[in-house]
Amino acid sequence: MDFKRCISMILCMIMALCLMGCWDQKEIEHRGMVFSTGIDKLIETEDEQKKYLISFEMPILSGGGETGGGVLEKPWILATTGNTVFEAVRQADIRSERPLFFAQNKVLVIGEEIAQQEDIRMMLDFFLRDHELTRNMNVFIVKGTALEVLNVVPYFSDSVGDYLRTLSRVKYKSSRFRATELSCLVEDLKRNGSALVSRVIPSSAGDEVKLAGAAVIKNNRLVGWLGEIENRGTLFIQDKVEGGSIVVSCPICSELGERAETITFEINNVSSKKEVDIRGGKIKFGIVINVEGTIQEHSGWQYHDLLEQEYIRRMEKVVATEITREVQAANNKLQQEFAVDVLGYGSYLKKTHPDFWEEIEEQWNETFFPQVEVDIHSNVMIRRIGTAT
Amino acid sequence: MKINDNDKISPLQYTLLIAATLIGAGILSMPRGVVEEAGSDGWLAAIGGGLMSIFITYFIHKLALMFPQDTFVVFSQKILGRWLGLLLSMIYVVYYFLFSALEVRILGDVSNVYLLNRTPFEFLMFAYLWVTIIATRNGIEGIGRLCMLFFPITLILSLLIGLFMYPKLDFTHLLPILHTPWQNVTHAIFLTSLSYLGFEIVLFLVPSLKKPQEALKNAVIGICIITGLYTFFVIINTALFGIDEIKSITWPTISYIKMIEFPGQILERFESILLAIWATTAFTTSIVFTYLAAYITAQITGFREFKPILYFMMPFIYLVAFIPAHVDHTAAMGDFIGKYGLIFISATTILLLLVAKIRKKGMHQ
Repeated sequence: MDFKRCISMILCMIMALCLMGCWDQKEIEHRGMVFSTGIDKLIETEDEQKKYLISFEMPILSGGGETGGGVLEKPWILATTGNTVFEAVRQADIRSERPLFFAQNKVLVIGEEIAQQEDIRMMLDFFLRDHELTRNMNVFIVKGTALEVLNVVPYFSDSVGDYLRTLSRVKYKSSRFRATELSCLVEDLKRNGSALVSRVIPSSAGDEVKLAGAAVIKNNRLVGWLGEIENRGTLFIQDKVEGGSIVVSCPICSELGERAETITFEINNVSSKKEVDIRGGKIKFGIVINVEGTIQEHSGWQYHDLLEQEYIRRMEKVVATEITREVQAANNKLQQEFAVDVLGYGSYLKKTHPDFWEEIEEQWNETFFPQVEVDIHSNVMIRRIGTAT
Repeated sequence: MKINDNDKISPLQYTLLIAATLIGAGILSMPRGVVEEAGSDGWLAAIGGGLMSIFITYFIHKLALMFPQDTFVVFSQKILGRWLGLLLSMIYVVYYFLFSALEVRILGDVSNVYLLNRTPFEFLMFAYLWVTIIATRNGIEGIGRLCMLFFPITLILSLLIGLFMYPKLDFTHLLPILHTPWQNVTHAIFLTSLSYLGFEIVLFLVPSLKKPQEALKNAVIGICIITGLYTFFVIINTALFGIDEIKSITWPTISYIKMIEFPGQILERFESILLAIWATTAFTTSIVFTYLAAYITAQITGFREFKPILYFMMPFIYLVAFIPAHVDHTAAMGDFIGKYGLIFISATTILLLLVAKIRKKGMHQ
């Protein structure tokens, strides 16, 4: 082998050495996968002024082998304190021999107390800025503390993070809860500091949680709650209802009119449309909600046959009235009690009447929004009656 | 067998070369830039930028095709005289040189944040630059083939990522249409110029084209593809994040890609794959610009081979890529190159066209 060949071979080897990028090589079992993060208010015990008590849920992953991998034990709930979220993350890093890794963190739970007292947008900043995290993370506000929720050991799922995330996907089964994605939440907060966030309630026994209703955020702070039915009303306005059942007490079901029977209506398909009328300086919104669904239960079966056309039409009216009432109630609560525009009236105006919006933008929240007239109309169509008449 | 086909590129290769050169690092941050300036009419600015590019491209081709045998270096000397022509060519060298340094820098910045955060930045850039040099070594024909290889993948994946997120897109974010003051839209159009620069490569490639007479048509098709793609990206990014939020995201397109989720969690962290694909688009841009910087220098200095110059240039590109202190400076450097590059290219083209007409140089159709 001549000299030139020898040199080129050595060069090739050096180049091959340079071209492998293993600086960042990190085996999966050396990472502390965080599945969910909880933020609570720190009950002051020390002199130090720390704001947050932050807990990370890290499932203990086995390294494969004979068990075939997977989760074996109860996840480790690592709770640390910090003045900012990232400070707490770094505090956790020096307590966990596997450095925290956030790419799988899909759930953020915020405690009630801290949400009332601190700016929520500030807490979210880390989750928006860090490159490991994604914006499709689900955000929940707990009625109670976040730690309570993280400490739940779910029966089916491997971790609370997985549990909550799976629950927030069953929108087609119920509309009594809402799922809030980080990206939508910050978008709302950016607009006027207000938003609706999904609420999670831990059970007193500590073995399950329930998604129910919504938390109302105003000026980046938690100001109150919406109940389950009210939440459904808001979802109707936002056109986000995908399913769920409505129980209607129905006087016409009973022949004699002596007692009200109940019918259970299941929502299959909803589309709602907004329109706005600004003539004469008065802002008037019209919302039309079109609902299609199925009758799932009918207690007045001894009086009426569900194959009667006329009867079905009357029933549709009863359900429509109920939906209108629900939506009206939810809307009034947000408009009068909380005086917070979380249902996107302002942004709708901005999109459709930009010139008018520019005039009133400054005074929208205080002056205009509480005065806005909202006219709600719903149409119901019963498509199916199930397998009994 | 001789692989080298006299360093000529086919019309299809030329179209894809234009497309691959245009689409580069800009696609990650451009949606933020145009929305910041033009609000919900940001996508109009993307279209406007494309139309402006086509307009300038028309004149550039007209000029280049007057001298089908020569590159800019030769014909600018024929038109303006030796020294002025050389000066313009040298400015082009600086422009391509800075541009390729910028592309490598953005490539390094993004991979440093999202892909390889603990790899030393210096090494990352060195590796990227090295790959660029290797790809450039075999001349324009090799680059043309590279573009044919990479660009279809980029195109298909770009359309797919729009599709994946379709259920989450809210197109009412694009309202109101045509409400932004026209000054803002015009300004936004100029902001996109960095993302569209690269259409002037024909000035140096005319002798390498197999069918120069089709060049204009091919270039316009290439620019149209990219205009469509940019508009598409601005629209999907706006529809996903909303106008208020998109302004606060450094690289909206990456945040967009990170939100893609497959049912059943088959593929999590899909962005790693897409970022690798994106890296190839940034590479093609920097490859073409590095090649041109070396090629023009070779022509100016009368070297027959551009390769030695390429190796000589490499350390300097490396050093220039380190000039911006942080992301902010990189963006400012990008704006600088975009703004003055566009002005320089349009001004010289018009000047040369006029003088050529007056002095009756070149072929006139």
